Amino acid sequence: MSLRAQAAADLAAIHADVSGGFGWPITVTNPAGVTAALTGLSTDIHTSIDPETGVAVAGRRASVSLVRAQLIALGIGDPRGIADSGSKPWKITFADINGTSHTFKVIEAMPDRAIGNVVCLLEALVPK
Amino acid sequence: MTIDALIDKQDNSELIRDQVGTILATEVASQIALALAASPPRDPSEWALRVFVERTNPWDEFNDAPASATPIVNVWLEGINYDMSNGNVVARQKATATYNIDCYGYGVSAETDDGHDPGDRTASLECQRAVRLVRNILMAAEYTYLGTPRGADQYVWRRWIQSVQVFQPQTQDRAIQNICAARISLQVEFNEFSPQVTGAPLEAIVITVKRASNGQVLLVAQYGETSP
Repeated sequence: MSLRAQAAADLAAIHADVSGGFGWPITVTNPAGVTAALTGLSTDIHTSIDPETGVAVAGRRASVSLVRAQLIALGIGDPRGIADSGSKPWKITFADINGTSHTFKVIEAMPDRAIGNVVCLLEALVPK
Repeated sequence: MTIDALIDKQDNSELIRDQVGTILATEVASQIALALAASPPRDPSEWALRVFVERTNPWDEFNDAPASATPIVNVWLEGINYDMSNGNVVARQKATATYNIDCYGYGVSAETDDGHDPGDRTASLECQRAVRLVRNILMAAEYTYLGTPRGADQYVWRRWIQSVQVFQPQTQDRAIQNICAARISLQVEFNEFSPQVTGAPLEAIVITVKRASNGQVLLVAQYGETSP
């Protein structure tokens, strides 16, 4: 197995390691409404927003990392940011460490086609 | 020799700053009442603002990414210039102050039946709505002199919105909340006054002015007297 293939395999294993690693249950819903329950890596952490007024705004930064091979196998498609208000967004749902579930919209997707993951930057979404 | 009176009053620059905040808060409440009293009643949230004065701590109001949040307005004094050619070195100085009125709009994406309302657009529109309200209130005829005294006690001469600058949200650290900010620069021309020397009587002189029968003007002076 090449190093690159090994890296992709290791990445998938790290994303799937829920019991001993940082793997975490993540639900992905595409604009067509197709939902998939995956495991991946998630972050939801404080950040400071600089609106350029000189006074910061306390905010949160959230993202997920998913294995593209799983998305392809499920036929759900590649997540991406949807700007069109006439379309449903890509939705990502996961719980924080205290068990509270949060739903987000994908605003930017950064696929890595070399080792097979996609990092999705998220923003808050009020579900219907 | 020192200043013999306690300096215990606010400068006019401070009074104006607080007055701008008071005007905005009062008029926002009035607009909400008018909206509710309209026929049919209007959604009062379209006229809602949260007004602050001279705040520098980070805004935490949007941290939980609520479904909606009222825009924030923060009034602060940026600086004052004193015009030497239009004042005097003794008592009155003409000042021009710039007050920044920062407006923060918040938006969160929300699903709809057919798609979704993008939060970035909502934040921008909310920010501009706040700018619209602030501009209309401060430039209204009722506040030509920012509600300050007229006549002999007048100290505000002119208020003028110099500019409105809208800031583009930074894209390198994407947050889950959409925040868009704008700055209204309000320029106010006013008088500032300074402590004066309280004179001490050196000598009492009473002078009576008389006109002689030939038209000559005569002065009768009495020294050390307090009345004729």
